[in-house]
Amino acid sequence: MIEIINMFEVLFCALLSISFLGILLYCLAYKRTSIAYLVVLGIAAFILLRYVWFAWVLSPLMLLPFFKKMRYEFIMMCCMLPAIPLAYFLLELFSTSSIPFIGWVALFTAVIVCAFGILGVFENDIRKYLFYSNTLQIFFVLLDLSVGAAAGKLDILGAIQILNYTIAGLLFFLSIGIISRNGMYMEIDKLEGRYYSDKKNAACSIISGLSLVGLPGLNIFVSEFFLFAIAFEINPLISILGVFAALILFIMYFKIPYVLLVGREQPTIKTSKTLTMFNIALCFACIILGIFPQLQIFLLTEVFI
Amino acid sequence: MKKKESTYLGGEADSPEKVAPRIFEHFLSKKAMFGVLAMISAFAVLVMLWM
Repeated sequence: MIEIINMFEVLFCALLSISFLGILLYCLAYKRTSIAYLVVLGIAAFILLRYVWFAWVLSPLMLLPFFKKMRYEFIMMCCMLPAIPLAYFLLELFSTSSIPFIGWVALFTAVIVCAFGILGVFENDIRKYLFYSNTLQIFFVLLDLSVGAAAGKLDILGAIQILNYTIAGLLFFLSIGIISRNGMYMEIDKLEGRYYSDKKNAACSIISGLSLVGLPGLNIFVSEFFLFAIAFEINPLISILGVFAALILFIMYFKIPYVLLVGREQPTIKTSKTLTMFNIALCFACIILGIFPQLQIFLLTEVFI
Repeated sequence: MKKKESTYLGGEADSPEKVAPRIFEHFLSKKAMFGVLAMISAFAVLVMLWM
Protein backbone atom coordinates (compact mmCIF):
# COMPACT_ATOMS: atom_id res chain seq x y z
CA MET A 1 0.00 0.00 0.00
CA ILE A 2 1.43 3.31 -1.04
CA GLU A 3 1.25 5.89 1.66
CA ILE A 4 0.74 9.40 0.41
CA ILE A 5 3.30 11.60 2.04
CA ASN A 6 2.07 14.96 3.12
CA MET A 7 4.56 17.28 1.42
CA PHE A 8 3.89 20.06 3.89
CA GLU A 9 5.16 17.72 6.58
CA VAL A 10 8.38 17.36 4.58
CA LEU A 11 8.68 21.14 4.39
CA PHE A 12 8.18 21.54 8.14
CA CYS A 13 10.66 18.71 8.80
CA ALA A 14 13.17 20.55 6.63
CA LEU A 15 12.57 23.79 8.54
CA LEU A 16 12.94 21.98 11.86
CA SER A 17 16.17 20.39 10.64
CA ILE A 18 17.59 23.79 9.65
CA SER A 19 16.73 25.19 13.10
CA PHE A 20 18.14 22.12 14.83
CA LEU A 21 21.36 22.33 12.85
CA GLY A 22 21.77 26.05 13.54
CA ILE A 23 21.26 25.67 17.28
CA LEU A 24 23.50 22.59 17.34
CA LEU A 25 26.34 24.54 15.73
CA TYR A 26 25.77 27.34 18.23
CA CYS A 27 25.85 24.93 21.19
CA LEU A 28 29.00 23.28 19.81
CA ALA A 29 30.67 26.68 19.68
CA TYR A 30 29.54 28.01 23.04
CA LYS A 31 28.07 25.47 25.44
CA ARG A 32 28.48 21.79 24.62
CA THR A 33 26.64 20.60 27.73
CA SER A 34 23.40 22.06 26.33
CA ILE A 35 23.49 19.68 23.36
CA ALA A 36 21.74 16.97 25.41
CA TYR A 37 18.76 19.27 26.04
CA LEU A 38 18.74 20.27 22.38
CA VAL A 39 18.68 16.65 21.22
CA VAL A 40 15.80 15.78 23.57
CA LEU A 41 13.80 18.82 22.53
CA GLY A 42 14.61 18.28 18.84
CA ILE A 43 13.52 14.62 18.91
CA ALA A 44 10.32 15.61 20.74
CA ALA A 45 9.62 18.26 18.09
CA PHE A 46 10.22 15.79 15.22
CA ILE A 47 7.96 13.16 16.83
CA LEU A 48 5.21 15.71 17.50
CA LEU A 49 5.41 16.83 13.88
CA ARG A 50 4.38 13.27 12.95
CA TYR A 51 1.37 13.38 15.29
CA VAL A 52 -0.15 16.55 13.91
CA TRP A 53 -2.87 17.08 16.51
CA PHE A 54 -0.37 17.06 19.36
CA ALA A 55 2.13 19.32 17.63
CA TRP A 56 1.15 22.24 19.87
CA VAL A 57 2.23 20.39 23.05
CA LEU A 58 5.67 22.04 23.18
CA SER A 59 4.32 25.54 22.65
CA PRO A 60 4.11 26.51 26.39
CA LEU A 61 7.92 26.38 26.31
CA MET A 62 7.82 29.56 24.23
CA LEU A 63 6.63 31.46 27.32
CA LEU A 64 9.65 30.46 29.42
CA PRO A 65 12.07 33.18 28.23
CA PHE A 66 9.62 35.78 29.52
CA PHE A 67 9.33 34.38 33.04
CA LYS A 68 12.68 32.81 33.65
CA LYS A 69 16.23 34.03 33.24
CA MET A 70 17.82 31.36 31.11
CA ARG A 71 20.98 30.92 29.12
CA TYR A 72 20.91 32.21 25.56
CA GLU A 73 20.95 28.81 23.81
CA PHE A 74 17.91 27.77 25.87
CA ILE A 75 16.06 30.90 24.74
CA MET A 76 16.77 29.88 21.16
CA MET A 77 15.64 26.30 21.74
CA CYS A 78 12.47 27.34 23.57
CA CYS A 79 11.53 29.87 20.88
CA MET A 80 12.47 28.25 17.57
CA LEU A 81 11.90 24.52 18.08
CA PRO A 82 8.28 24.64 19.39
CA ALA A 83 7.29 27.38 16.92
CA ILE A 84 7.58 25.15 13.84
CA PRO A 85 5.38 22.23 15.07
CA LEU A 86 2.89 24.82 16.35
CA ALA A 87 2.74 26.44 12.91
CA TYR A 88 2.20 22.99 11.37
CA PHE A 89 -0.61 22.25 13.82
CA LEU A 90 -2.27 25.58 12.98
CA LEU A 91 -1.92 24.89 9.24
CA GLU A 92 -3.59 21.49 9.61
CA LEU A 93 -6.29 22.98 11.83
CA PHE A 94 -7.11 25.70 9.30
CA SER A 95 -6.99 23.41 6.27
CA THR A 96 -9.11 20.59 7.69
CA SER A 97 -11.79 22.39 9.67
CA SER A 98 -13.73 25.55 9.02
CA ILE A 99 -13.04 28.13 11.70
CA PRO A 100 -16.05 30.27 12.64
CA PHE A 101 -15.82 34.09 12.61
CA ILE A 102 -12.66 33.95 10.52
CA GLY A 103 -12.75 37.69 9.77
CA TRP A 104 -12.83 38.50 13.47
CA VAL A 105 -10.02 36.05 14.17
CA ALA A 106 -7.86 37.80 11.55
CA LEU A 107 -8.68 41.25 12.97
CA PHE A 108 -8.01 40.18 16.55
CA THR A 109 -4.70 38.56 15.54
CA ALA A 110 -3.61 41.73 13.73
CA VAL A 111 -4.30 43.76 16.91
CA ILE A 112 -2.24 41.28 18.98
CA VAL A 113 0.64 41.54 16.50
CA CYS A 114 0.57 45.33 16.92
CA ALA A 115 0.42 45.04 20.72
CA PHE A 116 3.45 42.75 20.90
CA GLY A 117 5.24 45.05 18.46
CA ILE A 118 4.64 48.02 20.77
CA LEU A 119 5.95 46.04 23.76
CA GLY A 120 9.01 45.14 21.69
CA VAL A 121 9.66 48.77 20.72
CA PHE A 122 10.13 49.75 24.36
CA GLU A 123 11.98 46.64 25.48
CA ASN A 124 15.64 46.81 26.33
CA ASP A 125 16.12 43.33 27.76
CA ILE A 126 17.15 41.04 24.88
CA ARG A 127 15.46 37.99 26.44
CA LYS A 128 12.06 39.66 26.53
CA TYR A 129 12.68 41.35 23.18
CA LEU A 130 13.27 37.97 21.54
CA PHE A 131 10.24 36.54 23.31
CA TYR A 132 8.04 39.36 21.94
CA SER A 133 9.58 38.92 18.50
CA ASN A 134 8.94 35.17 18.43
CA THR A 135 5.40 35.48 19.77
CA LEU A 136 4.39 38.14 17.29
CA GLN A 137 5.79 36.08 14.43
CA ILE A 138 3.62 33.15 15.55
CA PHE A 139 0.64 35.48 15.56
CA PHE A 140 1.70 36.60 12.07
CA VAL A 141 1.50 32.93 11.04
CA LEU A 142 -2.00 32.77 12.54
CA LEU A 143 -2.94 35.97 10.69
CA ASP A 144 -1.66 34.50 7.42
CA LEU A 145 -3.65 31.33 7.99
CA SER A 146 -6.89 33.11 8.86
CA VAL A 147 -6.58 35.43 5.85
CA GLY A 148 -5.62 32.45 3.65
CA ALA A 149 -8.59 30.42 4.92
CA ALA A 150 -10.99 33.33 4.37
CA ALA A 151 -9.70 33.91 0.83
CA GLY A 152 -9.29 30.22 -0.01
CA LYS A 153 -5.56 30.64 -0.64
CA LEU A 154 -4.06 28.42 2.02
CA ASP A 155 -1.66 26.92 -0.53
CA ILE A 156 0.29 30.18 -0.71
CA LEU A 157 -0.32 31.71 2.71
CA GLY A 158 -0.26 28.45 4.65
CA ALA A 159 3.45 28.07 5.13
CA ILE A 160 5.09 31.17 3.61
CA GLN A 161 5.44 33.06 6.90
CA ILE A 162 6.95 30.19 8.87
CA LEU A 163 9.30 29.40 5.98
CA ASN A 164 10.60 32.95 5.96
CA TYR A 165 10.58 33.34 9.72
CA THR A 166 12.60 30.16 10.23
CA ILE A 167 15.34 31.51 7.99
CA ALA A 168 15.37 35.14 9.09
CA GLY A 169 14.44 34.46 12.74
CA LEU A 170 17.06 31.74 13.19
CA LEU A 171 19.69 34.02 11.66
CA PHE A 172 18.54 36.81 14.03
CA PHE A 173 18.80 34.54 17.08
CA LEU A 174 22.18 33.09 16.12
CA SER A 175 23.84 36.36 15.15
CA ILE A 176 22.58 38.23 18.23
CA GLY A 177 23.85 35.34 20.35
CA ILE A 178 27.29 35.71 18.79
CA ILE A 179 27.33 39.49 19.04
CA SER A 180 26.16 39.45 22.66
CA ARG A 181 28.85 36.83 23.40
CA ASN A 182 26.36 34.13 24.30
CA GLY A 183 24.21 36.38 26.42
CA MET A 184 27.00 38.22 28.26
CA TYR A 185 25.37 41.52 27.29
CA MET A 186 21.66 40.99 27.56
CA GLU A 187 20.58 44.58 27.07
CA ILE A 188 20.11 46.12 23.67
CA ASP A 189 22.00 49.33 24.47
CA LYS A 190 25.04 47.24 25.49
CA LEU A 191 25.28 46.11 21.84
CA GLU A 192 26.37 49.62 20.78
CA GLY A 193 29.30 49.59 18.41
CA ARG A 194 29.53 45.79 18.42
CA TYR A 195 29.44 45.75 14.64
CA TYR A 196 33.21 46.18 14.90
CA SER A 197 33.59 43.13 17.18
CA ASP A 198 32.64 40.69 14.46
CA LYS A 199 31.76 42.34 11.18
CA LYS A 200 30.57 39.21 9.36
CA ASN A 201 28.10 38.09 12.01
CA ALA A 202 27.03 41.65 12.74
CA ALA A 203 26.29 42.09 9.02
CA CYS A 204 24.20 38.89 9.19
CA SER A 205 22.40 40.30 12.21
CA ILE A 206 21.75 43.57 10.36
CA ILE A 207 20.39 41.77 7.31
CA SER A 208 18.14 39.52 9.40
CA GLY A 209 16.95 42.59 11.35
CA LEU A 210 16.17 44.40 8.10
CA SER A 211 14.44 41.30 6.77
CA LEU A 212 12.24 41.06 9.86
CA VAL A 213 11.53 44.77 9.42
CA GLY A 214 9.98 43.86 6.07
CA LEU A 215 12.42 45.68 3.81
CA PRO A 216 11.66 45.06 0.10
CA GLY A 217 14.27 42.79 -1.40
CA LEU A 218 14.52 40.56 1.65
CA ASN A 219 12.49 37.45 2.31
CA ILE A 220 9.97 38.53 4.99
CA PHE A 221 8.76 41.34 2.72
CA VAL A 222 7.46 38.75 0.26
CA SER A 223 5.25 37.05 2.84
CA GLU A 224 4.02 40.40 4.17
CA PHE A 225 3.27 41.57 0.64
CA PHE A 226 1.19 38.48 -0.17
CA LEU A 227 -0.58 38.77 3.16
CA PHE A 228 -1.57 42.41 2.68
CA ALA A 229 -2.47 41.97 -0.99
CA ILE A 230 -4.80 39.04 -0.24
CA ALA A 231 -6.14 40.64 2.96
CA PHE A 232 -7.11 43.75 1.01
CA GLU A 233 -9.34 41.64 -1.23
CA ILE A 234 -11.28 40.14 1.66
CA ASN A 235 -11.27 42.99 4.17
CA PRO A 236 -9.30 46.25 3.76
CA LEU A 237 -9.42 46.78 7.54
CA ILE A 238 -6.97 43.92 8.05
CA SER A 239 -4.62 45.65 5.62
CA ILE A 240 -4.96 48.91 7.58
CA LEU A 241 -3.99 47.16 10.80
CA GLY A 242 -1.32 45.26 8.89
CA VAL A 243 0.31 48.45 7.66
CA PHE A 244 0.23 49.83 11.22
CA ALA A 245 1.83 46.57 12.40
CA ALA A 246 4.50 46.89 9.69
CA LEU A 247 5.28 50.42 10.92
CA ILE A 248 5.63 49.27 14.52
CA LEU A 249 7.69 46.26 13.50
CA PHE A 250 10.00 48.59 11.61
CA ILE A 251 10.67 50.61 14.77
CA MET A 252 11.03 47.46 16.83
CA TYR A 253 13.45 45.55 14.62
CA PHE A 254 15.40 48.52 13.29
CA LYS A 255 16.75 49.07 16.83
CA ILE A 256 19.16 46.16 16.36
CA PRO A 257 20.83 47.21 13.05
CA TYR A 258 20.91 50.78 14.34
CA VAL A 259 22.39 50.07 17.74
CA LEU A 260 25.07 47.77 16.31
CA LEU A 261 26.34 50.47 13.98
CA VAL A 262 26.46 53.43 16.38
CA GLY A 263 28.72 54.07 19.34
CA ARG A 264 32.37 53.50 19.98
CA GLU A 265 34.19 50.69 18.26
CA GLN A 266 34.28 47.59 20.43
CA PRO A 267 37.18 45.12 20.53
CA THR A 268 37.07 42.25 18.09
CA ILE A 269 35.99 38.79 19.19
CA LYS A 270 36.72 35.29 17.88
CA THR A 271 33.82 33.31 16.48
CA SER A 272 33.42 29.74 15.33
CA LYS A 273 34.04 29.60 11.58
CA THR A 274 31.43 26.91 10.95
CA LEU A 275 28.78 28.97 12.70
CA THR A 276 29.76 32.06 10.70
CA MET A 277 29.53 30.07 7.45
CA PHE A 278 26.11 28.79 8.44
CA ASN A 279 25.00 32.35 9.20
CA ILE A 280 26.28 33.59 5.85
CA ALA A 281 24.36 30.78 4.10
CA LEU A 282 21.15 31.79 5.90
CA CYS A 283 21.89 35.39 4.99
CA PHE A 284 22.15 34.46 1.30
CA ALA A 285 18.88 32.54 1.60
CA CYS A 286 17.22 35.69 3.01
CA ILE A 287 18.48 37.76 0.08
CA ILE A 288 17.79 35.20 -2.68
CA LEU A 289 14.26 34.43 -1.47
CA GLY A 290 13.66 38.18 -1.24
CA ILE A 291 14.96 39.08 -4.68
CA PHE A 292 13.23 36.13 -6.37
CA PRO A 293 9.77 35.84 -4.78
CA GLN A 294 8.73 33.40 -7.51
CA LEU A 295 11.19 30.95 -5.94
CA GLN A 296 9.08 30.95 -2.77
CA ILE A 297 5.88 30.48 -4.72
CA PHE A 298 7.52 27.67 -6.68
CA LEU A 299 8.66 26.00 -3.45
CA LEU A 300 5.23 26.28 -1.84
CA THR A 301 2.98 25.46 -4.76
CA GLU A 302 5.04 23.13 -6.96
CA VAL A 303 7.52 21.36 -4.74
CA PHE A 304 5.59 21.05 -1.49
CA ILE A 305 2.09 20.73 -2.85
CA MET B 1 21.64 55.70 43.86
CA LYS B 2 20.50 57.59 40.84
CA LYS B 3 17.50 56.03 39.19
CA LYS B 4 18.11 54.89 35.65
CA GLU B 5 16.06 57.01 33.33
CA SER B 6 14.15 55.29 30.62
CA THR B 7 15.15 56.17 27.10
CA TYR B 8 14.23 54.78 23.75
CA LEU B 9 17.20 52.50 23.73
CA GLY B 10 17.38 52.19 27.46
CA GLY B 11 20.69 54.02 27.92
CA GLU B 12 21.46 56.20 30.91
CA ALA B 13 20.29 59.69 30.19
CA ASP B 14 23.33 61.69 31.24
CA SER B 15 26.09 59.40 30.17
CA PRO B 16 28.23 61.20 27.56
CA GLU B 17 29.27 57.89 26.04
CA LYS B 18 25.78 57.12 24.88
CA VAL B 19 25.32 58.40 21.40
CA ALA B 20 21.93 56.88 20.75
CA PRO B 21 19.49 59.65 19.90
CA ARG B 22 16.49 60.06 22.13
CA ILE B 23 14.34 61.69 19.51
CA PHE B 24 11.81 58.88 19.68
CA GLU B 25 11.07 59.30 23.36
CA HIS B 26 9.73 62.77 22.68
CA PHE B 27 7.28 61.48 20.12
CA LEU B 28 6.62 57.94 21.16
CA SER B 29 5.52 56.58 24.45
CA LYS B 30 4.07 53.18 25.21
CA LYS B 31 0.77 54.71 26.33
CA ALA B 32 0.44 56.87 23.21
CA MET B 33 1.16 53.96 20.91
CA PHE B 34 -1.32 51.69 22.68
CA GLY B 35 -3.79 54.59 22.45
CA VAL B 36 -3.35 54.79 18.68
CA LEU B 37 -3.71 51.01 18.43
CA ALA B 38 -6.91 51.14 20.51
CA MET B 39 -8.31 53.86 18.23
CA ILE B 40 -7.50 51.93 15.04
CA SER B 41 -8.92 48.69 16.43
CA ALA B 42 -12.08 50.42 17.71
CA PHE B 43 -12.53 51.89 14.22
CA ALA B 44 -11.98 48.48 12.65
CA VAL B 45 -14.48 46.78 15.00
CA LEU B 46 -17.10 49.46 14.28
CA VAL B 47 -16.67 49.07 10.52
CA MET B 48 -16.83 45.26 10.82
CA LEU B 49 -20.07 45.50 12.81
CA TRP B 50 -21.47 47.98 10.30
CA MET B 51 -20.56 45.71 7.36
